[in-house]
Amino acid sequence: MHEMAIAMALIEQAEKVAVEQKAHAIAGITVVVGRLSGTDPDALKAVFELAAEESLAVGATLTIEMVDGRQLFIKAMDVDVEE
Amino acid sequence: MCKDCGCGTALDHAHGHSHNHPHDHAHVHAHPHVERKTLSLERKVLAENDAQADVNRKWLAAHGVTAINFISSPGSGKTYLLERTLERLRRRVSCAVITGDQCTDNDAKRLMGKGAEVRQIETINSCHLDAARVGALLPEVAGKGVKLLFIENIGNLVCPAAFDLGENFKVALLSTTEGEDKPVKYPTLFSLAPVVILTKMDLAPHLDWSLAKCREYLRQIRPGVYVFELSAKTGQGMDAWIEYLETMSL
Repeated sequence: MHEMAIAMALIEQAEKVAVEQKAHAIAGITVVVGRLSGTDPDALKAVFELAAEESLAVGATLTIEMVDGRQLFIKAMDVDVEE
Repeated sequence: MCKDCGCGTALDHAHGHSHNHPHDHAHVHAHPHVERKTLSLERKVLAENDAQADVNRKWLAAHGVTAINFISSPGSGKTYLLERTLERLRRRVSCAVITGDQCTDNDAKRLMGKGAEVRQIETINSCHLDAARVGALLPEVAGKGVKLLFIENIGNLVCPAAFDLGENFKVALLSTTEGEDKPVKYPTLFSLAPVVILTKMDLAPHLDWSLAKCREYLRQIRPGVYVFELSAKTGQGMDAWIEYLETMSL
């Protein structure tokens, strides 16, 4: 099961985006998962919370959209920005 | 406190803020304004690994190395095939091997002494090789005129398929004892591998295994897939495989 590695990479990319956007918290992440990407959505959900600990995405909700193909990318993020 | 907007009174305004009422005093806002923004993106989850894989690919191209990523179930005969392959290519094509397993350097020991540089990666808790681990070994293992680099991935039909190592192409091994339908059961790998090696062909007559069915399943997942049928033990089909590798190393 490599979903922990996927989840860690997901958090890493999400944090990069958050820093670029000067956000201080990530409230939600929507990920597109291809059926041929080799990623199991249930396993990813199961490890996401643990991977998000001590990151900007702690407590964030993970939404997974399944599609055909090999895609595996972050489609949207809800971030909190302090004005 | 300002009676209109509820903000605290002080001498300076910390940030730009539009007020729809006139102010004759200066003040600071004591409460943070947090805004939730929804960002639309198309950011690859494995962007980091993919970037390292591109670094590896460039390194391999610059050094004239063809790298082949071998992926299969555990026990399909990757190491055995590599042993026979290194023996056949010895003193003809300069080869190197990076072999991955969860634990032990048993495979590296088996592959050593056949004229090729060999390095073992023990992943401990990881089920796949990634581009960073392979990239860190490239200069020491494949730097000295190596033409062919064999990367023997962790025995697993699922996880290794998701991680680009920067290799030139993937080769999937499928042994006759695993049955004919692995390609349709594990389509991710078999759709990514342009070359498939059917191993342990010497056992086929003793099994309820159909070559025609197996090839049909392979075609369903990847039309045009190039298939080798061989037995590393008896040597059946090895000539074609070795000839193919020699062509790859030119």
